[in-house]
Amino acid sequence: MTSGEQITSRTLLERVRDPADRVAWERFYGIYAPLIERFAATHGLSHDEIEDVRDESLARVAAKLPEFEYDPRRGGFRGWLYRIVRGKVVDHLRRAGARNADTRELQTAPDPSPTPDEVWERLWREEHLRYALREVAEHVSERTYQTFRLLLVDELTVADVCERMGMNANQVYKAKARGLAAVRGILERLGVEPDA
Amino acid sequence: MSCPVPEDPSSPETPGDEALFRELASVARDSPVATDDLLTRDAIPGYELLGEIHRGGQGTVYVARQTATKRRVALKVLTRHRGEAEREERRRFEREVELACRLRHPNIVCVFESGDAGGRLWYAMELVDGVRLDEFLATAHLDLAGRLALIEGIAAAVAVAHRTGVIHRDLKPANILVDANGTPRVVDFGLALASSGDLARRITATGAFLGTLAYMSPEQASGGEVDTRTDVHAIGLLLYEVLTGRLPWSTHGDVSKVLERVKHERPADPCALSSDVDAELRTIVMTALEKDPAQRYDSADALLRDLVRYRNGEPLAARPQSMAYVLRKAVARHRTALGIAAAVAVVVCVAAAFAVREQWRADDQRHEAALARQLMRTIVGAGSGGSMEHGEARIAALAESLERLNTELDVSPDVRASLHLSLGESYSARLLFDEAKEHLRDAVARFREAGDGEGVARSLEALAAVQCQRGSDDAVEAATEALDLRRAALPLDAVRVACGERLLARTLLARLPRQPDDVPRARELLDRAEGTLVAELGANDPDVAMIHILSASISASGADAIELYERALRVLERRPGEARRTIECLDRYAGRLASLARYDEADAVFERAANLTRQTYGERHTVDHLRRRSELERIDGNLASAERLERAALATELDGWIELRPDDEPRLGPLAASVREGEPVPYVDAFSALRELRGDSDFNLSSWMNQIARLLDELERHGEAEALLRESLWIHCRIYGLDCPNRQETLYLLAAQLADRELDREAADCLDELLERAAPASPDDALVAKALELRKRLSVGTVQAP
Repeated sequence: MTSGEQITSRTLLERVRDPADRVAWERFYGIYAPLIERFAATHGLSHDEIEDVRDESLARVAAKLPEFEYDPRRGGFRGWLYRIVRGKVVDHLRRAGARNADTRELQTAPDPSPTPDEVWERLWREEHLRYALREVAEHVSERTYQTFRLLLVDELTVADVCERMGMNANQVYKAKARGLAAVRGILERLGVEPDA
Repeated sequence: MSCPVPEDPSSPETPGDEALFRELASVARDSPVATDDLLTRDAIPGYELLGEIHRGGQGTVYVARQTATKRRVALKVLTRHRGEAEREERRRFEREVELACRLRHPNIVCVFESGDAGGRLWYAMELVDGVRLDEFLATAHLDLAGRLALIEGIAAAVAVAHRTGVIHRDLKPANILVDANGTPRVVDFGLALASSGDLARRITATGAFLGTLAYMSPEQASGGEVDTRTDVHAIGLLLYEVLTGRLPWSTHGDVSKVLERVKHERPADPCALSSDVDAELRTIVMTALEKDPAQRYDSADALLRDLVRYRNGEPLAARPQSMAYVLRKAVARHRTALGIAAAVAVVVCVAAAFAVREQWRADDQRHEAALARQLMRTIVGAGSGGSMEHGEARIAALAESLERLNTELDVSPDVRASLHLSLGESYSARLLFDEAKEHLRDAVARFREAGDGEGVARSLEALAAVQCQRGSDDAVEAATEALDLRRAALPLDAVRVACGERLLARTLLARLPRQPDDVPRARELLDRAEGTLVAELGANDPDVAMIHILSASISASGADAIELYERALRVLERRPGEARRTIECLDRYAGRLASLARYDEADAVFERAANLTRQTYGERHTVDHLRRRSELERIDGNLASAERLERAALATELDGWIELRPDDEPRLGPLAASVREGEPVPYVDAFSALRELRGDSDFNLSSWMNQIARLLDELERHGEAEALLRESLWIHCRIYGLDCPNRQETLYLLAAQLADRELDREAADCLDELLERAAPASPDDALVAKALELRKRLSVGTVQAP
């Protein structure tokens, strides 16, 4: 998988099974490590515990991936990874619970919404969006990318962007549309519906 | 860069774009956990971030423009660390960057400056337009020299760093960029995060989890000290990878398993994985990959020097002992497949080649070093890897190497003698008795020359064992002399003496059909040997079992013989290492049962022998087994049975080919059937088919043909024998040219056969050709002497002195 090559969720999963494919693993890590961290963070774990959950989950993923079979009824890879991560979070909560049951009690007190499943779904989407945002530079021209970032990350107005980049408004809108189209393409290949 | 959006300005936005844009913007802002996700373009003072190049757990690399100089650089921003670890990390980082800034080398990506922006450590370095080493290798298809040049460049970079006191710590393909000129450039010297924390965490946190694990050194995997030799190990891994296309150990499974492999697993033999790797290259790789840093090259410099020496065909500095060790290991692993004799041969040859090489090193003669390397390659190739299927080819290669080592190089008489002995033993193991005999005779002579009594005795014993396959008086003589030597030289080594006695008994028994009077002498020798061996080794030793086998063969009582065979089998069958002797025992047992007309039992025992042969040597080698049995039968005078076995062997060989190449079934099937059942037997057709199938590199074939021809002669089917010998001659000529010693031997056989039939004219032609071709410098050659003698008896023409 060279840097310019387009990855799909399927090719990424297939390639990451090959231990020699370091690029695939790094991409994989780039998407899923933050996802796991964020999910673990929503359960009131400490920073160290979050990292433990991340490392243990990924170690398990690496070991078990060769056995993973795509089964849409069980939520595909999203559901498979969720079950692994949830298991690790529960382990840590249990361990922490035994250590100081009182304080933990408060933090895990019934919270009507959202459910962990819903949290996972939301984080899953967000992390793929972040990944697409990082990847988009490879799919558009440098100028388009800079324009896109100024609008999106630096939150400049179209007028400000026109001034900075020496473009007219139409060109800025086109750059934005190109950026978004590239993001859509990346998301679709990863099996994520671009429109929520 | 691709641009997937049409240029049509009339459709500026897709429905839902605004919602997606808002969502992306909120995701870009919201980063509660991983704070390095996105930096604003001015996050690093003095630089403008232009875009992301690479993102890993250790940090993110951006393309940036230095505001002051407008120069484009690569800027790496490290992942944030926490607490105590952070402070320590920072100190080390600052020190390392300072050192790294000083490194200037064409193979190093140089570092300009570093800093701390709001708690984020960063450093700016040269922007290289290149691809990662692994990606480059996957697409570049370099030849061996090109791949080695890459590793040389990397080693040169690391060597410069080592001289400056910088250790890289994290050499791996991701840290090596190959630029547009194909020059490797090493990145991140000394800047790898060397956290004191839990290793598994560090590895997962780097985000290059499996890759990093695989490139770790044993000392890193066990949390030990890191020094220059850690980088040597990493270069060794890169070298292994460019040579074989894979890492030396599997990176499958969980972290702890992979770490165990890094710490303890010996790399798979690179020679077995790639024909590019010869013995010297293997020495370099294996020395770099030693588990114990003390056994590795001290620094990248030392490794680099050996790579350059290798390129120039000069002798290496890597310790030969470690290579001999590696070889011994390889030989030990392939012992069963190779046969013990061949394994011994390899070790001896290697030892000899080392001795030779040491001598050259002093002389510094490149040509000879190159020759040695070539020889070593063949010898090592013969000694390791591969299956038994290629046994003949390997022995052939071994033989050729030894011949060259022997003739072209000035080696001392004892080394020369050892080479002959090993080669003789190897041939003997492959049933090539004629070739074996020649070398063993030479070995005896050379050892005598060197005054090595032990060597003489060993060679005589091997010679006797070979000759006793032919039931000759020479065997008895050799065994007698060997025994005398053993008794005189080593009276205290009772086991050796007893084995000598057993061998003498064996040679006596082999010629029994001609000299039945020897039975009492053989029995006496066996009894004495048995007494000694039981006392020294115990009653259940395989050496004692061998005596039982021989005693059984001269036991007058069938019942006693069967009991002895059963006893021997009980000892031998429990030992997997004794397959060869077990097979011999079963063969003889089956023969005895057959002579007692207990055919069903005989067949059952023979079947056991065949099964064991199959298990030990593979399916194809039941052929060898059948041939060996046939030889025994022929020596015992059971000619019809011997031929039946030869036919079975030949048919089995053809069946094996049908299995390998089903397309040839229509042609080979009927041939195999008529070899098995037909009359007359289509020997010549079968062998010409085999020659075609096995290719011209097979020299066992003609020796097999000679063996059958001898049998046919004894069966008085001279016409068939002659046809076979002529076909055999033709094969020799095709494969080895007219001067092959094997061919001279065949010529002699043919001449002798023709002379027996009083076809003097034709016999004389054969002999004249033999004498003309025989090397002029070999008047003492046994074959030439025999040929001359036979030629004198013929009533045709004149005798040419060679």
